[in-house]
Amino acid sequence: MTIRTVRQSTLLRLLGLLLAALLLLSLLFGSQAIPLYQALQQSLADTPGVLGIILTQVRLPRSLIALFAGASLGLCGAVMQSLLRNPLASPGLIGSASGAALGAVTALYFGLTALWAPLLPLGGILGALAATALVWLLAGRNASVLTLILAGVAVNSFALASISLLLNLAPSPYAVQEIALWMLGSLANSSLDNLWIMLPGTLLGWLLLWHSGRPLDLLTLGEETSRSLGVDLARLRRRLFLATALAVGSAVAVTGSIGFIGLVVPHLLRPLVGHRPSRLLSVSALGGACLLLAADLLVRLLPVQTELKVGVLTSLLGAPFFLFLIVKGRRQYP
Amino acid sequence: MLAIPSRRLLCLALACLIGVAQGREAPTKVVSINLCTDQLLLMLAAPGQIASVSYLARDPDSSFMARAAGVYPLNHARAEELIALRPGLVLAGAYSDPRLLQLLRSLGMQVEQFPLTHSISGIETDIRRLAGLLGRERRGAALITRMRARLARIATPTPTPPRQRPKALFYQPRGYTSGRHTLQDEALGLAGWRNLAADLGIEGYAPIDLERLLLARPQQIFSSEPVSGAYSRARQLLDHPALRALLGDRPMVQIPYKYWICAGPMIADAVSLLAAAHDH
Amino acid sequence: MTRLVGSALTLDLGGRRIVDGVDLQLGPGELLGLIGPNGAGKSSLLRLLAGLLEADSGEVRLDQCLLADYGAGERARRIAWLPQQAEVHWPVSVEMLVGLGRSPHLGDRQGPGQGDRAIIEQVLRQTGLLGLRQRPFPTLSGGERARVLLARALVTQPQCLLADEPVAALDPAHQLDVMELLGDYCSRGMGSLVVLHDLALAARFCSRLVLLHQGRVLAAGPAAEVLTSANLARAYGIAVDPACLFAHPWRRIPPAAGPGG
Repeated sequence: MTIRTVRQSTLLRLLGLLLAALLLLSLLFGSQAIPLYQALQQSLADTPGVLGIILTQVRLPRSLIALFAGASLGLCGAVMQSLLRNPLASPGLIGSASGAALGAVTALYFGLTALWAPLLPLGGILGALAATALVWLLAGRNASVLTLILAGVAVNSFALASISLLLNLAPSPYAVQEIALWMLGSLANSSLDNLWIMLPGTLLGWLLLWHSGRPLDLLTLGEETSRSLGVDLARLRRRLFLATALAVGSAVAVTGSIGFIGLVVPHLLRPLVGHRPSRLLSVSALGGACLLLAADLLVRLLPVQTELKVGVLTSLLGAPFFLFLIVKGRRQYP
Repeated sequence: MLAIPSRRLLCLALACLIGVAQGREAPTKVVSINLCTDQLLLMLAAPGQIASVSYLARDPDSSFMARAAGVYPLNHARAEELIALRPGLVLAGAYSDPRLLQLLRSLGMQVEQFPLTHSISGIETDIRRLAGLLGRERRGAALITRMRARLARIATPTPTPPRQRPKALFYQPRGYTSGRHTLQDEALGLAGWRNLAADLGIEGYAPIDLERLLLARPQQIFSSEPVSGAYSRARQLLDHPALRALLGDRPMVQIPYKYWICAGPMIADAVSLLAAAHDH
Repeated sequence: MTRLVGSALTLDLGGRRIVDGVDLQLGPGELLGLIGPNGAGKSSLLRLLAGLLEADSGEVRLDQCLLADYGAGERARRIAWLPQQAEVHWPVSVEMLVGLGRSPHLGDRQGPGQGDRAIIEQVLRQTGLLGLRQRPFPTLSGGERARVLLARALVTQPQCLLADEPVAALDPAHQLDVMELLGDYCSRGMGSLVVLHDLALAARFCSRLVLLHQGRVLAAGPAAEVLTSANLARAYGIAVDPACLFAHPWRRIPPAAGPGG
């Protein structure tokens, strides 16, 4: 048995093409049919008509947010799995996403964002950081799969309960109904304002992940050997936790906690890059963006009266995926 | 041969008749456990007839008669407090707890439930019914006459045919709009607007997708919010840049929530606000 | 000129004294064998010399400068450390794994250059892994895995190689191959400190031996001086005639004269 990896450049090109195609489809299709050429013309005019407004103010922000959020989730899933050497360590499973949602809900529903707008992404970032640090403290350094999952379950439950409590106490009458939005995630009715809120933290997080490929590769040999090869493990861990909190926190503050992308995408793509952590990073980013764009497109095309939350679709994907993991695991260890 | 003298018999008959007439006397301790029945009760009741209104009646954002409700004791629709009040008549709404109502009836109280009303003729029916229950028929009739007069003043004498009226619709938190067979639909018609939601075939109170709304190209959007200022995603939807771009310099007009939440004569205030929006 | 020098190294772990005042010198071209019973402190001493653990007292110097003063990258280029337990977390290919050893030399470059690839190729050939280069690590046998990890260390072309039982999992023929390979590298200037359990191998290939017992150096010097029955009795609690250890009972059959040849 040999590893026949797809060439990295080919893989990146294919995923890039898929991303471009999905982006185009996302602009073309929505709950209403609009003629694209006319819409383009209108959006370039001084006073845009309705078609132009739909294209630039409704579909474009939604597609871009799906792209950036999906890429962040896929990328950070790959980062966490490589750092913790654990194929289940995704932002959702280890609590970063629900921690971010808790931070965002705190900032939004109690008027803090009205005081200073950047408090929203900051809330998400701090929440994500706190949750990840807590799981790290609970599970320890060389945590087994079981310990990590348990720590994640504990942190996730706590975050969800806190979110429910806060929303019950919030002054707005609609707050309680919005729990589903925060726990399942939704891109509905996104505006360009949401995109600007999300972007700084996301890009900063991605920047911090630059050049983290090689130390992650070296971690394949274990912590001590990688240290002997020059990796500063403590600094690496701090940098990667911060980067994940920045990217995931900013995304979740705007979209809510969208599940399974950070888990499924790196898992599916890892064999294609020869299980090599450094190669997995950019590939997972592209894969995550594609997945979220596709899921959001499907959500918009489904003919239901109230639009489905996109997290419902990604969770429907996640459940069979876990079943598949279980079946595969049982065959390996009967 | 009867020993009862005929005159006594006559007095007895007369007394019975008067007794029957007095049995239909107006109830004195009327309790309302629902915001909407509160409104009509406060408008129709005689002084001293009201024993208690619901706690929502004092909320100035949702209760039209909030100031008038200030003097009365409040209730939270709990069985024990209601029983302690010993009401002669209990007024409830469509969504009042049916078990509570059953309990009160089993204790011998008269409970009258008022369904949701979606039209102005429905409002008139409600007013007449409650006025009859309270023994204030004349006052009820006066209320209806006043309402009709106000509406007639607002509606134009020769109304434009629906096709040529300017297009509007309601857009509320969570993207809800009012389609056919709603109070808002009727009010828009009376104020000289064309309800786009009805044109699109929407029935009742239902959500409308943002893109669909934009493509319908409304010339005016009306909204109505229960609490101003408090953040929620539901509310943020109303601030979407696409709507601002669509409306340009025609801002969304807010119609105070208290004119709509309950069907009553205050709808005339709402209709006049809708009509005034033509001038912008 | 001595290269890697440990002076009066002491290490306490979990309340116990693991390494007790050890002096050790590893010069260029030396194949130094570190022997001793289980729990003598050999692995911990190796970690101290590699800079992975900090000694409670004493110091480690590389080319007369304190090891702690070297940057992590510089240290990684000069010292290669090979642990006892194989730890490979993802089922990557042999080639990729071995290639990781070139990382300290890659600098800002993303991947291995021409020169790096040549070195990787050469080491794969020397360790007999060319035919296995695309195989995923978990599919290899214990002996093959040990050779892969050794190759990873050799690919760094270090000045000092600190290897913790590199041949424990290998069959006799491969043991000889690996020790000869190490001897080859040493003759070209690399200094190698190898922890061994097989005293015969130690006797055969190591220029000097250091016998560790309960954290202290019991004996150090040429093999003949260290492998005395007295020392072995004291350290291992076994009675053995040292002459047997120097007998070199087996030799490698050259591949050309293999079965069927």
